[in-house]
Amino acid sequence: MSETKQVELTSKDKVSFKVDRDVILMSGLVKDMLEEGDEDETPIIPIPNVDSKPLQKVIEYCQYHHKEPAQEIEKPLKGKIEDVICDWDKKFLEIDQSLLIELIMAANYLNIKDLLDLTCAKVASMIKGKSPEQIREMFGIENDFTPEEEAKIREENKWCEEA
Amino acid sequence: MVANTPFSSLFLHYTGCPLVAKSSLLGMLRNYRESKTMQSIEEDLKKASDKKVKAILYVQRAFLEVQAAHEKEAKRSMELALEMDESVGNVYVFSYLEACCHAIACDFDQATKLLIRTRDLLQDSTHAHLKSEIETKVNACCEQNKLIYEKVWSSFFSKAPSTGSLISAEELDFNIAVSLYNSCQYAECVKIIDDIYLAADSKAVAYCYYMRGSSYLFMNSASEQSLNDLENAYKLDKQEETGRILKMNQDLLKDETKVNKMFYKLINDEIIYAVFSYLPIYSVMQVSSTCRLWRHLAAKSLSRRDYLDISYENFINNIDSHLNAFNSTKGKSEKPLQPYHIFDQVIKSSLFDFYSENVMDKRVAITEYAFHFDPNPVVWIKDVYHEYISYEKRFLKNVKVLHIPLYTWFKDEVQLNKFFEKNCSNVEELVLFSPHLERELENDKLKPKAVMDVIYRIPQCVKKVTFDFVLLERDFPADVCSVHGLKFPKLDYVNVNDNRAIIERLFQPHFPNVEVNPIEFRSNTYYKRDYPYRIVYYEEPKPFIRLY
Repeated sequence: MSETKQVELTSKDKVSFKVDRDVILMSGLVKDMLEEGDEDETPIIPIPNVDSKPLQKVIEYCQYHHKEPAQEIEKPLKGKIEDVICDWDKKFLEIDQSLLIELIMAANYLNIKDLLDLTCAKVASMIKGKSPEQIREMFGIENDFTPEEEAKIREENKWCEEA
Repeated sequence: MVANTPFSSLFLHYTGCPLVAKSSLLGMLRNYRESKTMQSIEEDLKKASDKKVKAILYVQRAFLEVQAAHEKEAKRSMELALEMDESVGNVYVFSYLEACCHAIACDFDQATKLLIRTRDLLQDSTHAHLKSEIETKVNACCEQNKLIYEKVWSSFFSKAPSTGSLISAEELDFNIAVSLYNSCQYAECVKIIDDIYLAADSKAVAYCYYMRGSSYLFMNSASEQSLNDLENAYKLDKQEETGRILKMNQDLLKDETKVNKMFYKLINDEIIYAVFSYLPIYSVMQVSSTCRLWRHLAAKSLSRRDYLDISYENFINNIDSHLNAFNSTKGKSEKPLQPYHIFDQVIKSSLFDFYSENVMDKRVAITEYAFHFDPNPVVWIKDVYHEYISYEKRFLKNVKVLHIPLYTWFKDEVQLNKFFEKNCSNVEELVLFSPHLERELENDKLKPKAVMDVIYRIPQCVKKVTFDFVLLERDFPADVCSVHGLKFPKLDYVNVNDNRAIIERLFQPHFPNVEVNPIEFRSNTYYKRDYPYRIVYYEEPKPFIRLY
């Protein structure tokens, strides 16, 4: 039985992960790099922008969805994201906000569209239904509107809030 | 050095830059229409017969309007100025005012481009006389303001000492850096700050340190480089925001990472657009109220949607609760609030201005309540609704692809005909779908004549039609076409869902060579659950039917 070809990914904090080549080909970036590189036995690919923790999650995602392609998520979300994703994705997203943001950045850097869609939809789901104050609090956004501007926008948006 | 001319503070006022604290009176000219300067301009405009004189007066008026943050009025004045004399557009003052208008609308990408053009025009010696006349007029406005806010304005130079113009090249560089920073072009921002020569003005120097330090932070995460700049900025000018970013930098260096607190500045625009694309419109409106940057991105994000779904559900957060809450406070004799009253209020939001005015070739889906097409202006409830804006005017200008439920199509014949008479020129593709097929069939509404009627009324401007509804064979006897003797429009393509046999039969008497193939859907996951509609966005259909 022939052995599956592997790739070694090295994170920003110098942690190495060995992963099946077929699995990590979900990443557009890695795919391009492998196409450019030599036919090495186990090529080492540095991922200098991603820490080990999010990289581990990325690999976990690829390992599952390599075999089970992700379903497209409806736009815009009509309800909660949990209503439209599979149980595995629900569990996968049970992470803290910091890791979620790091995952978005990792998915973007590694060019994994399905993971980027999933994590962006998760952030959207967190925003949906929240008031501007709650959103500011959630993301540490500083309100830079003048009081007059804010009053005008608030008036325009009164039907967007929960009744 | 940054001389702090009143003119250079004008742009900075709309950037949230702390430097402008002392010049913020510029933005207090809310009653500029009643001001002596404005009245004098209007009188001069009435008297003037020379086009060049008028052009200069319009620029002067635009300056006052920009000061009052009335960018639409300012743009109009500048358009009039150009109509009178095109060459005013080549004077740096004009270009700078245009940049200010974009800053007011938080479009800093465009503002940056115009500031760079302003810098080029500042060095340009052509139109010297015109330039001088405009400078005199604008300066007169500044002098007038000085009389009103004497103490504050005493700290300003009237003109930039280095050039004798209303603004110096250094000031413009500083403005460009601020604009780049506001549009999150951090690498470019760092580059220009490295080249700016700043001497005496400690606040400007502090702000440059702040922008460069923050840019390093947002580009590459925390580093000693960003820490040094932010510390220098804080030493020179103890601004609260600088202190906050400095602390964030220090925390990050200590590995006390709270990435989410920087999310809104760390993540690039494309990711923000991706996040916003999952939000219903009412949530996009909420995020647009958080800060200027997100308002700008939220407005632009609408133009990136596959199509804009026009429905109460998308625009209003739980419409039934709002109606109940509002109507329960009304007396029995008063007319109750209706969904379209609320909808009409929502679509007036300035958030949609960008989409409405700038987006060409729109893709729109009208998924419900299309009977509100082009309603007459009405006043429904005293003191609450004074006018009725149809969404036709707001969202259907420059529509290229229109999705309409079949039911609406034949129910609102008159309104739709009116719509196509007025707006037809841009609609190239029509997608007809049936949101609740079975019920319509049971209710005897979707009958052969209606379907044929739909086909018959497809306007000539439409080149591509997609039929996405299920028809029953029993309702379409073989002679249906000959019975009605219908004419067909000259379509380029017709795409069908699963009505292949029927549609083929309907078309063939008129287009004998037609070959019908079903469309392939991008996804089988139609909107399910409580959402009653079945909108599907198609990939470029393949294969299509070519009509000969």
